[in-house]
Amino acid sequence: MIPLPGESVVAMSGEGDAIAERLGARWMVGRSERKLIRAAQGGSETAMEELFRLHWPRAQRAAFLVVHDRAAAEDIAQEAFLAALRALERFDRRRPFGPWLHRIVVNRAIDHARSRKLRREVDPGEELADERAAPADSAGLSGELVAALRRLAPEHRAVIVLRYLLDFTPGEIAEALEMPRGTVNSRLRRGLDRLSLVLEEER
Amino acid sequence: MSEQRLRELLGADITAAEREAEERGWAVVKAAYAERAAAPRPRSQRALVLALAGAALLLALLFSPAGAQVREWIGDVVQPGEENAARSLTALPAPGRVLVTSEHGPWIVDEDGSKRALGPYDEAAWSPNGRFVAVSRNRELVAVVADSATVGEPVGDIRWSYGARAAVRDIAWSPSGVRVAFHSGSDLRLIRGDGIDPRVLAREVAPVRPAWRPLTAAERATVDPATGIATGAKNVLAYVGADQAVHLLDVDSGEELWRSARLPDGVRALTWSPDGHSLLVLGAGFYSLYRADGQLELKGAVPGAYAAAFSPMGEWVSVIGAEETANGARSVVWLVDPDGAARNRRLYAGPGRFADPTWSPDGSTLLVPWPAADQWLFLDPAEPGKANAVTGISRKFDPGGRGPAVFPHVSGWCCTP
Repeated sequence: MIPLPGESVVAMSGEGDAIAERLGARWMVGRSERKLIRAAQGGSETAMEELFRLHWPRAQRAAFLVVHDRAAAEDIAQEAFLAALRALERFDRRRPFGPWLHRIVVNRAIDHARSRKLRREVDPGEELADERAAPADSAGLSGELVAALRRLAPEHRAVIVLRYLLDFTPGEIAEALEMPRGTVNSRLRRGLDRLSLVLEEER
Repeated sequence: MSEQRLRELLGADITAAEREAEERGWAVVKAAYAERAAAPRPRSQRALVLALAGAALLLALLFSPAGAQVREWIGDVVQPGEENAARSLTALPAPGRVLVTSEHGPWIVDEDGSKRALGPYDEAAWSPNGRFVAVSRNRELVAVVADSATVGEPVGDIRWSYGARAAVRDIAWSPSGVRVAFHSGSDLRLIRGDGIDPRVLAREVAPVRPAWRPLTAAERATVDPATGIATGAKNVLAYVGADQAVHLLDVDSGEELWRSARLPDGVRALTWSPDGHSLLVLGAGFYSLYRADGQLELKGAVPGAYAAAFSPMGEWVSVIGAEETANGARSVVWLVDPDGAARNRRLYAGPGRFADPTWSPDGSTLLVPWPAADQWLFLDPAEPGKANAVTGISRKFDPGGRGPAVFPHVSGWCCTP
């Protein structure tokens, strides 16, 4: 499984229900992240690399799941990290770094997906190329899942990705995507239903 | 499909291709980080972040005809710094007082070069007429006397203080004198110029210093000479919200006058033209120019540009950008004519990074701090390529210090009439 930041801490903590573990992990990650950010602000490349390694896998995966293009996802994740780097000096260490970074990633991914859709509307050739490329590239994920996600609009995919890959709460998703919380909840429900339906159809 | 199953599917093991992408990503980020770390950064400097990975200054392309006509002094510079820099700051080359924030706190530099420390504070900002300076010390916002002649109290005396819930930074005193905006944690907060009536203006705002709209000519006419307060002025503030859009707020009525479309991430600075007719938004690789009524006038790409400031009379916008050369990165100062491209000029260039430029109140001099050279450059807009430099700046604001001194941040040159 792709590691959740702080997962090793959870593993060490032993007993406890899943919610408590996640909260504990978040707290520990927050504390260690603050140290890393402070060190990175002070010029420690080691700390910067640790921050990068901590968040890159999910950033890249999240971008891919929204844009369905591995090269674009890599670019989006890189740009997000460069944006984070530019803001590093001014970054308020009390704010969690991961959610802030992932919010940038997902919003950029949505923008990218929208702009590609726009291009397809003016250039049908792009759509054909896009469709041809799609089935081959699932980036190690279940091909069926990727295909099922592909049938959702980018904004719907983003909600799913934020919730089930990046562990945002519905409230955090609402804030990140600037939409009412009720919309987030309904999109999550509908998204799950549609994924179930599509995956069932594929079988 | 259960939520648990979906989590498992989305969190499938990382593939070899993803690992390779991670290594490529790290190479890019590492290079950008190394470039950023190369320039010394004062601890308290909250202003613009300098590093831009691999970016070239598009301005050089846009405005190269003017640049081509000036003497090619850049290639001669190998080590950062002007060779014939003065060792002492015996006088400022233009009227006014410079506010400097060092690692040990802010200082006021008078026109004759004398300096006065204000105390152990983190950040500092002039009041509009230079009578006071708003300073911060962690969660505390403090107004201290900066001009004993007009206030009648010693410089550095505390006039009022306010304890916020989170660290105070990005202080901006309104041109009318009656409001002070600042960030506290992620909130944008406001307090009256006499230190009372604090309130939250917005939450979860972007870490970009808010910018007050300058006074109009009619509003300037309402300034009370005895107090320096513009009694008939509106207090209008631009800030970048959590939605990554610029908001313009009449803080007295609470009315939001306009809100821009969402901007790309990385907005660095908001700068008003002196007449208050235009608001320049400078971001990471882009700029947008808005009219005071919110209409977008211009926008474009400026890769490498990281600082911009209108001259006090509005005839120039100084723009600083990074440029890649065979010998490494260097910074370039451009003067851009906001009315058209005809008079744009390349004013100065040197290796390393320049810090935020500051105009003298009369617009005759541009002060460009040069951390890598430990120098201040005083540039004359009429003389491209020429600089009056003063060296040893760090130690001047850390007298008696034993270890390496941190290069200080210039917080303003007071005060435009």
